[in-house]
Amino acid sequence: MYECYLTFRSITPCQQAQRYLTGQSLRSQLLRTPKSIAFKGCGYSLKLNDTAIGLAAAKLRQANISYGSAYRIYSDGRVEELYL
Amino acid sequence: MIYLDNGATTLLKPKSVSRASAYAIRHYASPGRGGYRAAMEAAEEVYNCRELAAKLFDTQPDQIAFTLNATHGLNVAIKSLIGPGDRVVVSGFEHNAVMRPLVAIGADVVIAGRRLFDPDGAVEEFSEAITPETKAVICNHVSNVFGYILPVEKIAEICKEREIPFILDASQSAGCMEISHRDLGAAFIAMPGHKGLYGPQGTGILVCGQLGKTLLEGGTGSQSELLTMPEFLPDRQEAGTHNVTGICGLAKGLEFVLAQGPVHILRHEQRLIEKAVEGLADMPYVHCYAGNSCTQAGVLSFNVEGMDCEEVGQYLAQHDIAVRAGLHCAPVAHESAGTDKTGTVRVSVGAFNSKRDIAAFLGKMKKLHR
Repeated sequence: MYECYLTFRSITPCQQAQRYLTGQSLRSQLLRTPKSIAFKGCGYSLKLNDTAIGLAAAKLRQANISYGSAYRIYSDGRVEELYL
Repeated sequence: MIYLDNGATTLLKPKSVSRASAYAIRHYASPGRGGYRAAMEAAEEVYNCRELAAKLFDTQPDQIAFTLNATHGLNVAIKSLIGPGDRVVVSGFEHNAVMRPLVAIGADVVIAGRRLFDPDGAVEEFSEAITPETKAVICNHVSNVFGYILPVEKIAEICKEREIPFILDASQSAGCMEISHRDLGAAFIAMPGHKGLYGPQGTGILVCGQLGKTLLEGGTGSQSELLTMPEFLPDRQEAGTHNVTGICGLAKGLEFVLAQGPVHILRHEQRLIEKAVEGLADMPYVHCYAGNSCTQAGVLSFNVEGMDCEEVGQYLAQHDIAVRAGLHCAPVAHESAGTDKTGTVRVSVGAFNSKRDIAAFLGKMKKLHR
């Protein structure tokens, strides 16, 4: 089992991305970046379905909305960076 | 009270503004700092306000930085672009919110366009004054003393052609005139939230076309491991906890302006000013500084023969009519119009004023010399 995240450096770009994705019919949850992937201190992330994260990343790039990185966090705590 | 001092603060606001601020003070925590409901809901409201402002000023939400007022925003803009000895071109109708920071910095200030209600002349003078040595151009959109609408679109165009940063002071125009950040290509646009945007005092917006220097440093809820301010907007310009109660009220003010439309609000205000000018024209002891619908917004200055402007203001105050007398923190504008020794009495209207307010004001003015 795992969860997928797109990280953002601050809450404003994270909100901007979430509203854009919602408009593209891609649902996400905005939350504080989990400690295991918060490499630069405080930040916010969008939690997405595994099946949606690739499409979401592509749509954000197309719209020039930048995100930090994409990660998969496994239930045993392992972290995998995704290169989307 | 008949409130005709909207150029200072719009006291009459949509009821939703105070309701939203009152709700916020009871329910919202610090935005961008926590993941719990009260913090996330606060962040949602703050972002909602950014989106509304971005829509009104034709820009992106992350280019909207919240400030304390227009003066705060102008200080950020000016101190980002101008250093000691730098040549800066400004209009002859600037407020001290522009002039005092420039003087404090020690900038070489060149004033262009001093003739009242002469936009063509202003464009010519700006064009001559802007040289390759010019570090920035700053222009008031609407004079807070005379309501003079300056030709900022044409001045911005000159700046774009010559690649000189342009700062717009939209203190009197935000909310009653169309302003497109995209079209103007301005480096910064500064405005208060508590005037034509109908928000609470203590709110302001700086539309940022560039990152800018920081006036304040502190916590932003982002990149907290760094001891320097973030290099991205809006965080770079928003150190410390946001004025969430104010921003929630400001969002309702923005909703009101978007629903009415700035052009509609301007036309309403201009009709009231035209009515005031017509009425004062029948009083030979009054001298009005009036333009026309292309050159004057909802602000009117006048003087009364044989009376100090403060006396006139006091007389009206005694009759529960609120106007402002004096130099209006804009000595340069008064010098331009030749009223620096006398000051003026200023009437400034808003969306919630009516013809009845102007009639009441004129009624008291008629009795002034009897």
